Amino acid sequence: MIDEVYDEYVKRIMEYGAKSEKVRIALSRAIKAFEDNRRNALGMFPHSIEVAKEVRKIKEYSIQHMDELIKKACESIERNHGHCYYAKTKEEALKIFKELVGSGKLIVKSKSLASEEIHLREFLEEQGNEVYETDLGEFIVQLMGTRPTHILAPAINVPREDVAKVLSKFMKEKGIITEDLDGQDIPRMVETVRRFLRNKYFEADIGINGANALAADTGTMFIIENEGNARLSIGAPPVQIAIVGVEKIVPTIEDAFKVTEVTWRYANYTVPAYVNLVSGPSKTGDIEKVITYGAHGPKELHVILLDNGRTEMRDAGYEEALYCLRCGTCLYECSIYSVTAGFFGQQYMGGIGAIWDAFTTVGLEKASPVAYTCVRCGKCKTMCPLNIDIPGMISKLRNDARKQGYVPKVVRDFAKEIEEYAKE
Amino acid sequence: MRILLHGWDTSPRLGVPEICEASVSILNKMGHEYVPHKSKAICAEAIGFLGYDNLVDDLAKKMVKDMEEAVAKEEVDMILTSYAAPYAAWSKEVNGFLYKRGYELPVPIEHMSTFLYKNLDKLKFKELPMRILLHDGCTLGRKYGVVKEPREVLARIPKLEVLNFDHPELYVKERNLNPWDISACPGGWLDFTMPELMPYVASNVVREYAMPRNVDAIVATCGNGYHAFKAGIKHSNFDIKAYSYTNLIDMALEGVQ
Ligand code: SF4
Repeated sequence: MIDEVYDEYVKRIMEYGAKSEKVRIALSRAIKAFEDNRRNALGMFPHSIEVAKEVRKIKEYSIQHMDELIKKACESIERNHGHCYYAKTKEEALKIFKELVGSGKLIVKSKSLASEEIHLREFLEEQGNEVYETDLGEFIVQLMGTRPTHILAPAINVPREDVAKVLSKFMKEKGIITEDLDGQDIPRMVETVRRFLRNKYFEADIGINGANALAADTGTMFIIENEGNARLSIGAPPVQIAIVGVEKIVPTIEDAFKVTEVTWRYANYTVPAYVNLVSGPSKTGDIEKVITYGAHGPKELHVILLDNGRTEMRDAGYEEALYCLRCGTCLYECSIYSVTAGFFGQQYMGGIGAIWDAFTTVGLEKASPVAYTCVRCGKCKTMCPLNIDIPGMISKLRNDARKQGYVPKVVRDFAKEIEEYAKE
Repeated sequence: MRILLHGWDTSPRLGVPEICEASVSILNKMGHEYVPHKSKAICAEAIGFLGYDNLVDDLAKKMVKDMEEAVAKEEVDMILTSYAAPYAAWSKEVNGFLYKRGYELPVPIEHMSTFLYKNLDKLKFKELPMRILLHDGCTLGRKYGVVKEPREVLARIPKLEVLNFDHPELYVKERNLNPWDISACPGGWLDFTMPELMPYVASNVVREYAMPRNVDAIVATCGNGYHAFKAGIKHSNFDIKAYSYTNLIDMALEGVQ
């Protein structure tokens, strides 16, 4: 079985990744821009380099005390008149969504890796809902029917000419444009998507979001963005549902500020256009101090805290993987990712993604070929703001894979040779 | 001195013949005796990170035994390698993985660069008018910080222009990053895990980092890196050469004074 899994994975990474000139060119452009922006961001705000060390400590504490922080965060959210749910598994999370959403709804969704982890959009669509990804990259990926290939820039592997093609087809069908979009005119592409999605925010029944951090003491979610789609998805519909991985919870709101600052700096921003802080549903006390919910923003706020393998990940000795801020640095720095994009991975990507895939999405067998794609060169660890030991965890994951019989043949054969030599 | 090449260097499965030949040639020019050694020994750390921690101790013991026999039989003074992993595993000086684990080879092990560095004042080089990009092996440079030795030896070669694996866009002075921290891996280890991918990765590193700097060659301090670069250059038909550190030294070394 592992050999089939490996062959299928290799076929995909080679055909769609390594052999694609388009992927290579798109990534080459994107990596250069990222490096330039990050140098600028860290050069202007060098204190972030020191704050990153503090954030590592915050994360170490938070992951160690995850259970008590989940409880505390839930209490805070409820205190703020939100509703808090804990989903141990993907199935539990989807069940909660099913009960909250039902069918026949219009839903606007902002980018959330936790939601992708559980295939939320596809699930809600199956339930008879109309769901729109509102992050531009995610929207393109949705129209193309593919999968995101970078955690920050989901359509990073798609050159502008291809974006124009897919948008032209869709937008013509929807009557937004009559002529094909020019493959070089990026502002026009962006403007067309804006025109299409604009009304959706205000017509939507539900907005769905993820979060970069969640402060347990105040129940405040921090959502970093640049496009403004998240604040519209969060603010315009009458119901807001957030899905947040439990590893995102930190003890205090001050900690959450530090976590998000380091995240955006290493994600190459001096400062993002927006950082949304959401602690509860919209409310007013302007008439005789009578608190009334649903003033201008959502009347209801539901926060689903998703475990889905995170506790197992920690308990199995991979706690460092849970420190990950999803800044994307390690992907941009990786020689393998530079030619394969997100095809280096199953659902998550890169070396760090192998650990996440093993515990939260596809399981160890399918994560094994991803682990064997990583060369453990260590550049990711050096460049990671939190110095996460990805190469060390990759070795551990490979050893765990071996214990379960999930080592690909090419490695098995080599190991056999070595074993025979050792026994001589 | 009588010098044995590490099993990784000589193994038909792993070793690159031209590196072995260059090693022997360097030893001859320096007046040392090369003791032939055929062994399947690889560094035991490598098998561990390929997922076989269970074989590490057996392999380490077997290698120590093999080396003890060879050393006793051939009266060897030293073991030499052009690869990063064996040096980093066994070296006492860098507190290598296996040394830390309680295993010790009967005689010291040197990487070609550390060996030459220790003989620096004796080495006689001819001119080598060439502009090269130096690639520090990931294990040797980033992990173990063996970076001064290869550079100081290269600095003695007249007319050789050595460029570091710099990538100015990455530098933020507060992060204290060095060229060996940021050097991009050509994916030599893929040869053991996903061989078809290796040339694509290596050729992209050459394209992104070496080609824009107009160098004649990319030179890798680890044999694995060289092997990957060579495959990458061939794959993309680039007009640039790949050399192992050992091969480059052999091209310039005249002898000892
Ligand atoms: S592992 Fe480190 S560099 Fe990679 S995304 Fe996570 S925080 Fe960023």
